[in-house]
Amino acid sequence: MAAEQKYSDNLKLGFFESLSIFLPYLRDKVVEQIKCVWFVIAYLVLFQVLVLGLSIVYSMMIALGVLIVVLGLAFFMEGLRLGLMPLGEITGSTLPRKFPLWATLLFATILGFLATFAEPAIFVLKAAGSGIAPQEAPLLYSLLNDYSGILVACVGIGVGIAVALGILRFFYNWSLKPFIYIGVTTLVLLTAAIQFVPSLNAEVAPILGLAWDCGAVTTGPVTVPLVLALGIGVCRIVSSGDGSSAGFGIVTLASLFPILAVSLLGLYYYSAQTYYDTENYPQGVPQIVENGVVTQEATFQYKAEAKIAEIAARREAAVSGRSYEEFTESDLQAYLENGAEGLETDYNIQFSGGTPVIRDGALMLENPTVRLSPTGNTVLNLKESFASSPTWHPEIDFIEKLWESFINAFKAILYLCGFLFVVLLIFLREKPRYIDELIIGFGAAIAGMMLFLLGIAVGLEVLGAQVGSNVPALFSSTVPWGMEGAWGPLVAEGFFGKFVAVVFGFILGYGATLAEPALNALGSTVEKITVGAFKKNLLMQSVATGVGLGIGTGVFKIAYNIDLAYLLIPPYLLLLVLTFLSNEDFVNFAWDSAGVTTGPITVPLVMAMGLGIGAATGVSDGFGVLALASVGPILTVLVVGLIVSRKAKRAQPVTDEPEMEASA
Amino acid sequence: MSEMQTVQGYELITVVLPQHGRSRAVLDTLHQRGARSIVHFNARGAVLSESHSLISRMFPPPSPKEDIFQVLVPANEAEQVMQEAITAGQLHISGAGAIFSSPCERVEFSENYPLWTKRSDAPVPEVEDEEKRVAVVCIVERGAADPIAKGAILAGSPGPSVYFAEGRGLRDRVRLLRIAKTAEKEIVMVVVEAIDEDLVFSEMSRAGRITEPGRGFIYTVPVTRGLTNITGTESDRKQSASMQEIIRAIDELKGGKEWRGYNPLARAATQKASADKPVLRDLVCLSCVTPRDHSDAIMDAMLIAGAPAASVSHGRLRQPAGEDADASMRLNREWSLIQSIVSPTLVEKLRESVGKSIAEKSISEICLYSSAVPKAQTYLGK
Repeated sequence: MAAEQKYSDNLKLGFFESLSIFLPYLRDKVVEQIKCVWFVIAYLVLFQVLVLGLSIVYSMMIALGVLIVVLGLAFFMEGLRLGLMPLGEITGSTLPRKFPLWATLLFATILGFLATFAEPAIFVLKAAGSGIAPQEAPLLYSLLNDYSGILVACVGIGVGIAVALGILRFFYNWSLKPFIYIGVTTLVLLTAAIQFVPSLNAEVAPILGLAWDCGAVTTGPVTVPLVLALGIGVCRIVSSGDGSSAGFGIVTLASLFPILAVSLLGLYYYSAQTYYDTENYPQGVPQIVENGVVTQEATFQYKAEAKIAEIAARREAAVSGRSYEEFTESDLQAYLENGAEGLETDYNIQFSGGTPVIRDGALMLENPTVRLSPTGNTVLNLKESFASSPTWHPEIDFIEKLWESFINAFKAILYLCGFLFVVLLIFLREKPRYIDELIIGFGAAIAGMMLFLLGIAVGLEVLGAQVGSNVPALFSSTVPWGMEGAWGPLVAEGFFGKFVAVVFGFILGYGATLAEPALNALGSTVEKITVGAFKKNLLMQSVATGVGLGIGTGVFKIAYNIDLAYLLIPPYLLLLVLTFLSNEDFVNFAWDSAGVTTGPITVPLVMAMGLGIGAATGVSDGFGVLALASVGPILTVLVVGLIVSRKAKRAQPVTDEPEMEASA
Repeated sequence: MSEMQTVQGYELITVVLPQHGRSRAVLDTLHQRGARSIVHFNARGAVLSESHSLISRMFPPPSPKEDIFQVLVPANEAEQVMQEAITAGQLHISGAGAIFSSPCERVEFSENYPLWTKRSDAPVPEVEDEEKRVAVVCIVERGAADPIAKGAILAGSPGPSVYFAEGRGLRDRVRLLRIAKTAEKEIVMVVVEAIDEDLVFSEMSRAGRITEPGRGFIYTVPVTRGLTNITGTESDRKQSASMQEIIRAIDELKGGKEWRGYNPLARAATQKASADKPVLRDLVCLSCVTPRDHSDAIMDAMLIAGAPAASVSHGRLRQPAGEDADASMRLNREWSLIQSIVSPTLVEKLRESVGKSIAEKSISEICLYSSAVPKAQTYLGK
């Protein structure tokens, strides 16, 4: 800033002149984001209206939410450009020059550990734990409830080690490939062991989905750009610079290590027998107390039929020790007419997600996903509930959501940037050229993240949940609460309907991925680091296609209730082969993009759909879809890489001798 | 402490090589000859693809990556050095790369700058007129380089190289509003034969809409001698020769290059088109090579002295392996090339201001030189 003062001819711009510079800039940034999100929004709306034949509920709120998402993304991306990424790069390029190696690695470990706590998604996973039925998956239940602190710490340590290892790799110019071979082989063997060893399968297998999702979740929109920029900064100083992928690879390791950490943690508790319903369980077996002392009340977030679940939940507490309650059609008729009493059996009811809170002395679940699945062949039609389509959800508290997303955004950015800033200014004594620019960047990033989290909560998520939970209407007519479209199931109970659902998943994944901020940042970074040789679009399109394929497979998994291990192990084995064949650049880009895809836009949309379809088919857990969505892009980026490198090789000059001589 | 010395009679050799090619061999050769001040920049080539299908638009194939090496060499040794580099890099083969030298005036350097010292006062060999070449360089906003490179190729140039730079100037004078302007620039550089210069220059200028406000800057740098073997078009596997090779073959058959601009009508039209737009003549490019840490200070010095704009490209100093101070942990030394193009009257002021900054910060590794810019074009106001 001192330098700025020295210019004799600092331009004095009037208000309108300033505006004439600022407004086009603002417009460009917003238009850029509209280009990113229009596809997935238009697709969801058209699908709901044209294919499913339903009107959009809460349309005003969704429209506002989408607007906020666009604004938020525009701010956030500018925050990355002005604040987070320059900060990461300056720190990265200063560290190795002023710190010894061990201090650099210590810094990296702390950064990775903090990143885990900074990412809001990790708390979503924690919250998901409250919906697990302890009798069905005791170990998973215990991990997410009794040991959730240790779980998150474990993930944090995993990420910390991964970042340190990633940085160490730059110092010694190690290829990423051996890390992938060893890491993936270990994980595949571990997963296979847990899946196929009978004693382990029963108890430990349910945590597989959680473990793989943890890997995907830790690498979010704040961590990825920061870690990438840091890596690039470090590589500027230490790498030999012959490859153009210098700076990449940390994200890959940061996705692999938490999987390992969580699996091992699960195995540890299994061997120690200290989880729910085992001999050493410290809490003992929990009792559901009658007479309203401990009750579970479900507020169903988006459906007018929430009361059914609510009543069921109340009754569930009355029937001690049972985790679900059943309804019959006559129950329902009685409910529709009288509103409340006298429901009997025909449905399984399960909860997942939600935040447990104490209200008026009662234990309640806030906003869980409630799933009713039929036990009989009853076909219900609750179309009446959709008769009126309110434009605004009465129960969404805007101010509260705003505050919540502000806290999340503030935490995520403050933890990481604060740490980096302190290290840079105090330990490294390096003063960035334009501190005011960095601070504006942080402000924009916080505001942007707050807005887009809010927009997702009131817009994208609501829209996604509506469409997602209605997708099963394509192939199933047995879902309660009016999931059938006005036209009834398009294709009753058949393969074709499921096929359409898979295609829906594909396009949803494709569209949502293009809007992910972390992927946009990765794309720009790839373009920058290769001096524009790799276009951002090449990466974005390959990754989006891959995520689409992954989510399509995920829908397939849920629709046919296939075990995750069968769908994860073969692709990972294929990936090992492809990794071996590909060149270092593409290996880095491909594996890094896997961690990037599962961000704040994809996750809620995919989860909503996964749960909706799961409800229709009676599959209990929605975990695992994200893990599949991470495999897809690696596969496609590597394949695209192989294709374009072959093309490039063809265009290469025909030299007399191979380049062996050059290196000799 | 920072005593600056001034010498004359140097040339700047620039080598452009495809990555993973013979960079190593060329670098070793240069090191053996005694070059210690080689700065290495990453760049990309520009290849014109014939395919316009949806697939190739969705998955744009990556451009070839290139290495650019720059080193100051005594003018009387330049030819010898270049020949050795050509042999080491097999640069005579089509697509193997390019090498060219451009004259530098008044090289000022500080004591620790590893300048290549003159061994003899042998005269500088004359260059035949036939071989005359010109480098056309164009600085634009990041992301705007591709159409310009395409324009150059279509106008008959070999494959241009594109590298990144940061621009300073207007941006630093508008206080916080600078966040609205990106500092990131792309530079397109291509060496053409003198006969193609006018057409390539005007086509690049037109493709980049350089004469419109805020678009960029295009200029030429004279080249003493050079060899360009970079293909600009992606040839089909079935074709055994690239367009450049075919043109060269026709050159040989016709015994000259006149056939290319033979049509007097076409030539007149090009000349008229470029005459429409005002061209700046006889400017000077002041270049400064120094470690990256000092680049901000040097740029500030140039801007304070009245330079309208300056650009900086970051690269790495390439020294022979084993000559680094700390062999156990090899750290790269980031060096920057700072350039500003100004009128000849302003150069002295710039040098003075930079000199003051060098003394103030006691910068011990720095080198300043100027080179002629015969022709330039940009938006010139209303």
